[in-house]
Amino acid sequence: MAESMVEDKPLSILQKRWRKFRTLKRGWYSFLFLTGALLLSFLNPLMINNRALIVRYDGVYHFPVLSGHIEAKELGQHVIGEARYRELKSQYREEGAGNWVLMPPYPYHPNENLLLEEDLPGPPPHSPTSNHWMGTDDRGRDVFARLIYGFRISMLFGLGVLIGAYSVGIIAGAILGYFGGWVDILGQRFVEIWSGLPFLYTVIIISSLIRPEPWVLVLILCSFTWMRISFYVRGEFYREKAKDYVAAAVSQGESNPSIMFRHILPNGLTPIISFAPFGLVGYISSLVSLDFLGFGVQPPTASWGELVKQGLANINEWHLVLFPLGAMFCTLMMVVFIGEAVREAFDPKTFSRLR
Amino acid sequence: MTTTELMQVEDLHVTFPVYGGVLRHRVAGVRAVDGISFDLHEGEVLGLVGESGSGKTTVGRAMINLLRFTSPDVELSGQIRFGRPPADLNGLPRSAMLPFRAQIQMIFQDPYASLNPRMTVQQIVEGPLRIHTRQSADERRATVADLLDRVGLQSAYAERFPHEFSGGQRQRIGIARALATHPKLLIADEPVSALDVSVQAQVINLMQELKEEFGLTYLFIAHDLSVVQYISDRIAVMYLGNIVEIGPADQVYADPRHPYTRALISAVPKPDPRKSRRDRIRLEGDIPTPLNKPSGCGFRTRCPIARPSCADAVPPLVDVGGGQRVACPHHAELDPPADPGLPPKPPEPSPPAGVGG
Amino acid sequence: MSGYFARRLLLLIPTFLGITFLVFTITRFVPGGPIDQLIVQMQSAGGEAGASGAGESSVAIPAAVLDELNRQYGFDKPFYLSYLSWLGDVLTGDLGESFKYNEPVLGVITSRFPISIYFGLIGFTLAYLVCIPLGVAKAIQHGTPFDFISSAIVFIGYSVPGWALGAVLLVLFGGGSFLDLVPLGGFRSENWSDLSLVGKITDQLHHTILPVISYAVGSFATLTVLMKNSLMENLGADYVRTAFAKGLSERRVILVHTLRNSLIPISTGLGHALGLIMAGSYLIEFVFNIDGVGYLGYTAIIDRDYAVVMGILVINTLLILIGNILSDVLYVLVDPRIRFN
Repeated sequence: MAESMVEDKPLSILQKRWRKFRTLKRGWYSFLFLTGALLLSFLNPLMINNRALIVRYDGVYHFPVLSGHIEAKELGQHVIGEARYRELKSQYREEGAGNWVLMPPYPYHPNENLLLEEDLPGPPPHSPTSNHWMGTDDRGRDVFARLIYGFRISMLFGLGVLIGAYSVGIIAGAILGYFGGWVDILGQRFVEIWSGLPFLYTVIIISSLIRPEPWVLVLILCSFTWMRISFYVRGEFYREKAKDYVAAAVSQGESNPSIMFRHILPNGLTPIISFAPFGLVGYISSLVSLDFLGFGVQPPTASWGELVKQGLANINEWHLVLFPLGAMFCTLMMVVFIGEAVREAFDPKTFSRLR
Repeated sequence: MTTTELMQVEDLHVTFPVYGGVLRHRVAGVRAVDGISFDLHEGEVLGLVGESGSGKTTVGRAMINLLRFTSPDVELSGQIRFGRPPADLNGLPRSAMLPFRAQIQMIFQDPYASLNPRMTVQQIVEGPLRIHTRQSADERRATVADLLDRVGLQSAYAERFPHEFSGGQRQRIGIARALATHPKLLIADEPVSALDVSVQAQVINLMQELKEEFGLTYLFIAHDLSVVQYISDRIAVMYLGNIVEIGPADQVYADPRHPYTRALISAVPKPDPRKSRRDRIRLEGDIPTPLNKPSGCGFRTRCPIARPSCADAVPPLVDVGGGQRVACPHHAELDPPADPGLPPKPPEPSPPAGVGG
Repeated sequence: MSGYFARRLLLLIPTFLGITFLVFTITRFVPGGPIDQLIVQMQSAGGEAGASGAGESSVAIPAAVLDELNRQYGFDKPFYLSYLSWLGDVLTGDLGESFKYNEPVLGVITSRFPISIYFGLIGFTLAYLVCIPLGVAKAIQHGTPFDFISSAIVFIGYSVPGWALGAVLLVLFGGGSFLDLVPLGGFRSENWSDLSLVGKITDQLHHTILPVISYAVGSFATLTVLMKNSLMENLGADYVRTAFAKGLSERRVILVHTLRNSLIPISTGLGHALGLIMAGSYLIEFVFNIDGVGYLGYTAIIDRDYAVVMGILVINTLLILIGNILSDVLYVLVDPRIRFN
């Protein structure tokens, strides 16, 4: 013991696990990549958009991405309505009057109809071209742009459900496990009944009543996923409650909420934290499934499942199935790698065996 | 010994219901504590001794109203009067119990389980301060540093986590936590039985010192007579939920009147092995379960002087002089102690001795 | 112990009543129910002369007809009373009549059971046949490249929802842009009865292989990892040490001594699988155009065929609840250490 005291900065268990997690390369790099991609996806409008970043016209600078709608006439383009910046760019180049347009790196918007583009002959969906890396969907919208925007929706949706379901599940499980007795018996019946409700049915009913915004979908999915978490938390609380540090807290006069959430919860979080990434996988694929069935996010929001649906309807359009599902596979796989690493960091079970 | 009573336990019964059947109705009750009474005088150390299953830990937990927390359906009766004017703590709601919590603190048996592994020493020890005082964070830090110093730990350890300490150090942290609110009464539930023998003595010495320093009263629970003997002023011996003998420590050791106490004391290892082998009293069989307690005297199934009348009624504690009371009407038939004046107080507690084994 | 399971069975009753009551109540308050649909049908039929669309409510429905419809569907009573009469029917084994198929619900459902069970059972068996040996191999070769690579593959499998994998496989092998190896879906070809015996078998296999892979892939990761960890845990146990010390061969230690104990956690999953096998997966059945129970439930919800919805709910709920208890019974049977109370 004395030797270990020499080490100057003590580490909490969480800090140690974090360090361990960072040494598990596959999970750590997946974590860095996904976090980076998610943060970057907030800049999507600057990178994948049909509005120009900067337009210089007659010595005046415009920033259409930030300012929004600009009438074509104001920029010297002879069309009705909003300026078409890709055409404007070639127009300025031909005019050679010192005006210029700076487009985002991928100058197409996910909801933009590209049927009038010269390089896309024939009816949609179009196969991939050099301009449209993943082709277009059955309404002539750019698949790559929709894919990237769909990533942000999927991730934010998954994280939203994760946070919501964990909050509800932790509180419910804590109450059942901590108070026990009748609270527990009645609560468990409620959880059992609630778990028996058909998920798809409820979603379809709600979609028939209101237009489900993404956050409504998050709430719906939360209300169908918290039970599993509460089940584990209940078990943890039940077990931890019997330990003497809890008795010590009671004998000092701690209040119930303080015992539950300051004393027990940090000790009971381990299993559900290591489930979290796997939960995220489930939530993201749930959204894709719902979109696939047509009960997910409302059109024209970009979504992976909707693309797959189109692809299965046109079995020859492989790019409508393989690209979005490929994106989903890669994303989910990285989340699984993270989950695997988290689990190993949290549960470093070292197997000893003979031979 | 002063005569001021700090706590009076009167006719305490604790029964844990047992449920069974399809509808989970109460089918039986485990009578863990079966009507015990004793007083705690201010400034004394009362050693409460018994085998595992004798109900001694339950008594300690009942005294700080912990039982209802761990088993909400526990059946409790009797009185636990504390302080002056005496207030009955038994069945007090948690809010009404709060002011007494600062005055009665507990030291737990397992120093590994009783410290929250996710909290630093600072957070653990300052817990009671946050509840019972209005100290600022800085004041609490100073108080904790002082407390750590008093229990023999460096105040620099405050930011460390329990898993970085040895068993003895952890128990010191537990003691520091118990002392934080300057309690009057400390209930020590087998505070050293989880520790190495060499460390046991250190912790007991520390508790002895702190008792003088803080003016504490201890209820010292142990299964090991040799540990209790060293620190106690009085001793109470429990068997199957009852106190079978209680009295001044020296007197009980020198002249145990109850056959069970006698067997317990004979099991304490003595410095001279040749002497002790001979007069060791061996108890037959195991302690019966409290679920299926023998009628009358609980000890009669293992008692060397049992007779049919022992099954009739629970024998009351009878004064045998000098403050010593015994729950055995036939105690006079026991031989006088084989070796009067023994055992001597050892300089150090000896290793734990199993009863009859 | 039998008291414990008797109590579990008793607790099943409130749960069952709660679920069915909740769903029944919901069905009563959702627009677009059978009566609305009938009205729309009648209007479009009656309004054909006027060439008006289905949405137009120019044609009035006679009140008597409406009353009759309401009575027929039990909408004339408060919802709790019609729940009670529905419950009474269910207890006598009558699940009502499908509004869409005009047949008894029980028949509609049971006629689809064989298809769902066929795919579910084969997928389930496949998963166990692959995962148990794989888990054992991974445990024995823990830490080797084989372990590492198979872990990666298994986890990739885990991150793919079964129906999505099915979609990919269909695109790759279903004769779209790539290979044309298997049909696009369905249970059998339409000319199945005309085929020779060999033809029948190959046709059935062709229709089976992709859905079964999709069914099985989801459980690959969990089962394999469960098997591996369970075996690893046992390999570290003292009794294995003793077996090695006795001089037994590794093969014998693993196959005779350890494997049996390691199968305990795996075997208890069998009970839970009961509900899953019977219920089918509406997504996979949707992708492969298989007319099983899952797909039936999905279309029933879309069509507001409430009798079928409730019928499937009743059967599935019972199967899942009983499956859970069955799992515990299995646990007790295979593991003599477990005692519930």
